[in-house]
Amino acid sequence: MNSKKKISQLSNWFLTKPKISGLLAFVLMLLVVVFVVSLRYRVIKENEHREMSNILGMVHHNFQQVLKNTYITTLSLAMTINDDGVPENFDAIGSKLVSSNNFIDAVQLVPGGIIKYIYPLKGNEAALNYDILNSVSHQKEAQKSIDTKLIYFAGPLQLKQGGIGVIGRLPIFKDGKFWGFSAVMIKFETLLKITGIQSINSSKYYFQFSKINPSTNKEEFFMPDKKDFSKKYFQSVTIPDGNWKLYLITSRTNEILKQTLTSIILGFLLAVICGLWVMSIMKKPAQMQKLIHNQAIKLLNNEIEFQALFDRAPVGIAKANVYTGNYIKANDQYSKLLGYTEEELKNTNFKAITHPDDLAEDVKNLKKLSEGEISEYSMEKRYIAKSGEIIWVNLQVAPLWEKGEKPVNHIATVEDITEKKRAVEELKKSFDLVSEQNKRLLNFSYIVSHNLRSHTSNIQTISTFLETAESQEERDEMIELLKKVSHSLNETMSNLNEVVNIRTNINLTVEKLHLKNNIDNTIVILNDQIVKKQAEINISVAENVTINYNSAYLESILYNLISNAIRYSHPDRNPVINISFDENKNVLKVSDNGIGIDLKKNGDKLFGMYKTFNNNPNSKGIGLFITKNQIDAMGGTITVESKLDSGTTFSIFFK
Amino acid sequence: MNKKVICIIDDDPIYQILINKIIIKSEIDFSVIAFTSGNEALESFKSIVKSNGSLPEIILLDIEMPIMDGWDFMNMIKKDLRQETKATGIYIVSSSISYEDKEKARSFPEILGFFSKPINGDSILKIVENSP
Repeated sequence: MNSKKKISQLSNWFLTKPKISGLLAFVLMLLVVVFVVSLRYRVIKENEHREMSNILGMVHHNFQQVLKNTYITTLSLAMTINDDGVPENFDAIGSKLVSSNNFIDAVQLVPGGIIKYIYPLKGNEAALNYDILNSVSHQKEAQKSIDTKLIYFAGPLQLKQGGIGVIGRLPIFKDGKFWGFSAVMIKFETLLKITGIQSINSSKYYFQFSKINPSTNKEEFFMPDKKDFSKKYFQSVTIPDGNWKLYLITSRTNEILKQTLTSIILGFLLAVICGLWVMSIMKKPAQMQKLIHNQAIKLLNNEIEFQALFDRAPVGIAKANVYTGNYIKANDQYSKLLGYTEEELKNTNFKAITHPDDLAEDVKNLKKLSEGEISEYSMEKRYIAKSGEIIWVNLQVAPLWEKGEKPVNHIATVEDITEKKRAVEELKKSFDLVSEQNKRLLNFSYIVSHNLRSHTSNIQTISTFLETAESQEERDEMIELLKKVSHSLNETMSNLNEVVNIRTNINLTVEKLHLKNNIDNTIVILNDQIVKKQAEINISVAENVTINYNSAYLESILYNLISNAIRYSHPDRNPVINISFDENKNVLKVSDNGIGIDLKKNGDKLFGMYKTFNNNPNSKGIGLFITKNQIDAMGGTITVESKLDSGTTFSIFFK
Repeated sequence: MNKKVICIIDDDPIYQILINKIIIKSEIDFSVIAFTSGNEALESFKSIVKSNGSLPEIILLDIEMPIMDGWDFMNMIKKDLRQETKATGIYIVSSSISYEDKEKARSFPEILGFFSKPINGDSILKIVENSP
C-alpha cells in the first residue's frame, strides 16, 4: 500500500516533469551508449594490440633469426683462420656463406681492426683496409664487442663502400689475445626486407627503427618516416645485440576513435531521440494532468461560487428528495424563513411543513415533474413556520437530473411573499370596502334619485294642475294630493335619515348584551302579532350567551327579522319560527316556514331599499335594508337561504 | 269599435291619479287602465288574450315596482306575449334619470321611448301621435 503510493507518487513526479524525465532518459541512454562504445573500443584496441604484437613478434623473430644466422656465419668465418692467424680459403668459404645466407651482403675478416678480407670484394673495395678501431663512427661499437667478447651489431651507419648497413662483428681471440673481428655486413635495406618490415601493410601500421647513438647516447631513428609518434599508439621491442629498438606504430592516429565516433554519434542521436521521445510521451500526461488540474480548479471555483450563491442568496434554496420530500440541504435564508435549523429540516420533509390546503397541489406538481410531464413548476404556497406563523412563498421547483436520467433530487427556491400577500389582502379588503361603499353610495344615489324624484315629480305635476285649476273643487283635490305627497316625502326622508345615521355612526357604543334576554324582549313587543297569527316561536339560545353589540341595533335587527318571519307567513299554515345560536360559528339563525323568497330572481335586491316582493300593504322595503346596514356597521354579515313556499332562514354572523 | 286603451303600470297611487288627470285633460280619445305592479298587468293581459280581447295600444311602464319591476315585466312580455304585443307601443315613464336605465331601455327594441317623470300632456300627445 505504502510502496504503491510511493510508486504512484514517483510516477506522478515524472509525469509532471517531462523535461527532466526526458533529460534522464537521454542521460540513461547516453550511459548505455558510452558503455557499449567503450566496450567496442576496448575490443578494437585489444584486437589491434594483438595484431601489432603478432606483427612485432614475427619481425622480432625474423631479427633473431638473422642475428642467429649472422652469429653462425661469423663463427664459420672465424673458423677459416688457421693457427698462424691467417685465414685460409676465405673467398671459397665467404662465397658459400654469402650464397647460403641470402640476407648477407658481405662477409669480412678484420684482423687487428683493419678490414683485410671482404667477400665479395666487388662493390666493397672502398672498405678494404679501413681501420675501424681508429674510425670515429666505428671505434666505440667495435670496442664494445671486444670488451664484451660477444657479437655486436654496429649501425645502421654510412658504409665506406656507400649505402647504409649494419655490421655484426664477432671479436676473435687467439690464445687469449684479441686477433680481430669476423664481421658480416647487411645492407639496411636487406635487413628491412628480410625481417619483413618492408612487407608491412603501411596503411595500418609502420615501423620505426632506432638505435642509441653510442657517441651521443641519443636515440636515432632510421626509418624514413621520422615523425614524432610518441602521441601515437605503438609497441616496441629491444634487440640488445645491436642496441636497437624496433617500434610498430599505428599509422592512423584516431582510427579507433573514427571507428567508434560513428557509434558515438549514432548513440548520442539515439539518446537525444530517446530523451525527446520520453519527453513528448511524458508531456502528454503532463498536459493532461495540467488540463485536469485546471479543470479541477475551475470546478472548485465553480463549487465555491455556487456555494457562495447558495449560502448568500437572498431567497431560500433547498434540495430535497423528489419522492420522499426529505430535505437534503437548505441555505440560511431557507432556514431563517421557516425558523427551522438546517439540521431540523434534514429530519423532516416539505410535506410536514406545508400548509395542508396547498399540499395536494404541490405534491401533484412534483409528481408531474418526476414523471417528466413538466420540466419545472412554480406556485404560490404557504408553509407553516416553526413558530406556527403562516409564510406565503413563491415556490419554484427545478429538477436536479438530466432528461432521461432517473429522478432523485429537486431544488426548490422560495421567495417570501407574505408581506406582498398581506398587502394584496389588505388591498383587496380595502377594495372590497370601497366597492361596497361605492355600491352603497350608488344604491343611495339611486334611492335619492328614485324615491325623492318620484315625490318631486308628483309635486311638480300637482303644482301645474294647481295653477291651471278651473274650480275650487279641483284645487282642493290637488291640495289633498299634495298633503299625501308631503307625508310620503316626510316618511322617505325619515327613512333616509335613519340610513344615513347608521352609515355615519362610526363611534357606536358597543356593550356586552345577553342575546337570550334581547330575543325575549323582542318576542314580548311582537306579542300581539304572534297571538294573532298563532305563531310558534322556538328559541334555542343558551342563557349565558353574550355578544358585544350596539343595543339599539340588536333590538332593531331582532325586531325586523322576527316580525318579517311573522308577517310573511304562509297562508296555509301557522307560522313556526326557530331562533338558534351556534356558539362555535358565532351565528344567529332565524328561520321560518313562511312563503319564502325567490332568491334566483330577487336575491340581489333582497337587502336593497324600498324593495318589496309581495303585495303585503305593510311591506315598505326598508326593514331588511336597515338590518343589513346595521349588521354591516357592526362588522358582521347576513346571509339568507330560502325556498319559495317552504320558508326562509336568515343567518347573522357576529364579528 | 272599442276605444283605444292606454295602460298605466305604476305602484305610486298619487301618480296614478295625476296621470289619469293628464290624459283626461289632453282630450285624447283613449280609455285608461291601471296596474300597480308588473305581474298584475301581465295576469290581466293573459286573460284578455285568452278571451280574444285586444291588448292596450299604449303602455306607460314604471321601472321600480314591488314583486315584478318594469324590466321583469318586459322579459315576461317577450317570453309569453311577444306576438300579441306587436302592435303595442311600450314607453317607460319613470322617476329615474339614470343613464343605466335609459341604456337598458334602449336594449329592448319593444320599448319605443323613455320619459322621466314628471310627464306632461304634450308628451302624452306625442306618444299618442306616434302610436299606430
